[in-house]
Order: sequence, then structure tokens, then C-alpha cells
Amino acid sequence: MDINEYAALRTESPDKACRALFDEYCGYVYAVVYNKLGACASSEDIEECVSDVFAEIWFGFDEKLAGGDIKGYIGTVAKRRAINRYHALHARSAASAATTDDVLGTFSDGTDIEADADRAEQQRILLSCIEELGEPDSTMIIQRFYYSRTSKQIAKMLSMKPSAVRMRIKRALVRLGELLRKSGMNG
Amino acid sequence: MNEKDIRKTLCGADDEIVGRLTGGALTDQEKERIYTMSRRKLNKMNSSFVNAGDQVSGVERDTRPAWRRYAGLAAALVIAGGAVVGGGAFMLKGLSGGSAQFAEITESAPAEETEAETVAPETEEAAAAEIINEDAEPASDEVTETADLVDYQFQVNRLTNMYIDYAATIYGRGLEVDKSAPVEKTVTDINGNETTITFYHVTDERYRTWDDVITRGRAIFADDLADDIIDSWNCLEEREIDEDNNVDFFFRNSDGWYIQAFLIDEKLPNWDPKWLEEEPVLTVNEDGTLSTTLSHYLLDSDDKISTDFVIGQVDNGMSDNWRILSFEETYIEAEE
Repeated sequence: MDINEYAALRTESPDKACRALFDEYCGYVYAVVYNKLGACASSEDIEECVSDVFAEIWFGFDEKLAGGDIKGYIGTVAKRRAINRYHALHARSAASAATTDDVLGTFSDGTDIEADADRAEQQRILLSCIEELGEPDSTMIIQRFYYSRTSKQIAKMLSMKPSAVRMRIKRALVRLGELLRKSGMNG
Repeated sequence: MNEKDIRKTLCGADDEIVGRLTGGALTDQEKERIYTMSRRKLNKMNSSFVNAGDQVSGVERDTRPAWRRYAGLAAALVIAGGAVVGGGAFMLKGLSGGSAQFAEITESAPAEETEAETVAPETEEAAAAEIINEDAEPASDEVTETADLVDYQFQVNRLTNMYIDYAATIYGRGLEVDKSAPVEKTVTDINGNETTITFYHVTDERYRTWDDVITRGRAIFADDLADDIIDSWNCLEEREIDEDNNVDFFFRNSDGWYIQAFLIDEKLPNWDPKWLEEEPVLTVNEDGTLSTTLSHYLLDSDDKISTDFVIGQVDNGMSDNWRILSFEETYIEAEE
């Protein structure tokens, strides 16, 4: 859905527009928020943040603000909300210094361009290797090690038994290691 | 690269990478839950004319429902199970636009015990008259309706009391445990730090095994809602803790189940949860379900939780077939 389609749908039916936007971008917003908060927030905090993002987008949508790029706009709102939520959580929790530094360390401050480029390249290689595993293994790896879901939760999502999920993940990790070594990363 | 490195490497990724991590991120249930929350917030923003920009900066107020906030990760009883919200807040499943015709039962409904005494004889007399005299008028609608109301009130009282007792007990209040032999489990977080968590074995006669917890849950909630709630508690088999390197508030093995010690020792001992309303005021909906709203204080606080219940009959082939079909909590801050 591009910005014109959303604007037109909004005129026709605000409810339908909200739903359509949500259905298309929910996964993306969740991924953006999780990317920032996954290491330090509970799943409830992350879901709350995602809902804040959509409420803000629906309430304050302005075609001019979006500048023609609806996905970019959504991503920006999501990142901003996630960072605010991070600060809110950090302000009232007794997070360990190690956790804080580790989270902040993942946010590039833009001063070390070479390090940022290396990191981005590592991310691209890793993700490409994960995708090369094929489904459902790539989904399992991402759900288990990025979204920290349990085998039981993954099994429910994929209509499999938890024991089967665990077995496949173990095998997928071995294959992933081989793929990473082939691509020059330390598997 | 090991498992922990996968997470650390992908964390803080740019938009292109993040865009490739979206597939399968959320289950349908999670999506609906988030959608419901989002619409509720939008309605609030619309009704209070809050400028979205004002909410972006600064520390955000914690608006999570109480059980979720207090119970941490295992968000048990805050799932608005089965209630798909459409264009507004707090709408019942299957209805939209608030168009349901509600027949509200107010204080005119007599107390349960008194009602049972007065209704029964009338009903029996009416039934006897019908058998003796074929031309006799059937039992009046008023008598039938009154008897139904008694039953409705009874079911609402019964299930909402079971709900609050179940919720509090599973999270440790009044739960018998064996503190003499605590069990420790060690998990490693993504930073490589080890955390040791202490558990007590549950010895409560009411819930000797996790199956007893499930059975009780299904006596209170419709089966799919009960399953959702119990699944969310994520009571792992003990061997899964090591395999998954993860544990929440409970785990189980062949000896029964275990609860995190901090719930027993620190969180709930001084809390006596009870409904603030003496008698639930119930509404009979067009589809035959019952609605009621009850509230209780949050632990050691003047803040409250208001819970909207929908109660109805399920098709379980049993005479005892009234269950909570859905519930939704709202956090209400105490007035200053």
C-alpha cells in the first residue's frame, strides 16, 4: 500500500484504512521496535510500543510529513517510539551497566564509519545465510535466536511438535555454521 | 559465531535488514492483541483530542494492565481472549458499532438466596397446575424470567469468584509449597551472564500437578481461552529449561510443578484480592451471554483493575456448561 492508496482508503473508510495499514506493516513495525528493545524490554513492553506506533500513525497521519514514503515514515515513527520507550524503561529499572552498555553499543553513533560498514556487512551475510537454509528452518532460527521465542511457541506457530522444532533447530545451526564459514564469517 | 552471536549481530540492524526479519514475527493472536490495543489508544486520543506529538517525547506512562505488569513476562490473565475489537473499545465478539440491545438488570434483581426461596414454589405450582389442567395457562413469562435471572446471577457470581481466586492462587497467594528444599535453575542471558532462579515445589492439595491447574482453568474459562492463558504461562518440562535456556515462573516434572520463590516470598503474601463490588451487576446480551464489570485493588495500592467479563454457555456436553468466554482488564490510577 502506498501513501496515495492509504489516503484514499482513509477517506472512504477510516476503519478499513487502519486495518489495512496494520495488516501490511505490523510485522515491520514489530521488527523495528524489537530491534531496539528486544534486549532490554519484556514482550509486553514491545507490544505496547508497537500499539503506540500505530495509534500515533493513525491519529497524526499527514501526507506531507510522510513525504511520499509511507514505509519510511512508519519506520521513523517506530524507531522514535522505541527509543523513547527504551529511555522510559531505563529510567525506572535497575538495569545492569553491562546490559545498558550492550544495548547502547548496538546503536551506531555514526562516528566510526568503518566499524558500522563492517557490522552492516556481517548482518547482511548472516541474514543471507539464514535465508539460504530455507523454510521452515530460517523462520525457526530467527524466531528462536532473534525473537527469543521458546520451542513451544515456535511449534504452535508452525503447527509442529516442540521436539521436532528443537531437532530441526539443532540441525539448522550446524548447516548455518557451514554456510557462514563458506562465506568467510567465523561460523 | 554461536547462538548468542546471532542475536547480537542482528541487533541494531539497518532498515534493509530489519525489513527481512518481519516474516512470521507475530502470531495471529498477537497481531489481534496489538491491533486491539492500538485501536483503544486511538479512541482515547480521539476522545481527548491529544496531539500525537505530545506523546512522543518524555517518559511514557505505564498503561499496562496490572497482571501483565506485576506478573512480568508470563502475561497470564490479561489476554482479552476471544474478544475481537472492531471500530471501538470494549466491544463483544461478533458485534460491531455497539448495536447490541442490552437488557440491563439493575438492583431490582433480588439477592440470590432470597430469590431462590421465592421463585421455586411459584415455578413448581405453575408446573403442577399445567399438568393437572391441560387448559391451564403456562407459567408466566415473569416467573420464567426471574428464574433465569437467578441462575444468571449465580453463574456470574460463581465464575467471577473462581476467576479471582484462581488468578491469585496460581501466582502464589495461599499456595502451599515446600520451602525446605528449594530448587535452583540457572539460565544464561544473551550477554553470557548466568542467572540463578529459585523455585519451590508446589504441594497444594488443590493443584498437585500442572494437569490440576489446567483442569481448574477449563472449569472457569471456555476451553480455547483456558488453553491460551495456560499456554502463556509457559510451564516448561524441566528438561526443556536446559534445551531452551529459558524459564518463566513455573516448570514441571514427574514430581509435580514448581513456582518461582520470589512470588511466594515477596510479591503476594500480603494481598487479599477480592472484588470491590458486593454483587456483580449483570447485563443479558442479545446472544444470551452475560456481561459484567468488576474491579479490585492492585497490590498494596489504591490503583484498581477493572475487568469486563463476558460469560456464556459452551457446548461441552455437560450440565455445568457456563464459562467465562472473554475478559478484558483496564488499569485505573487512583485519584490524587
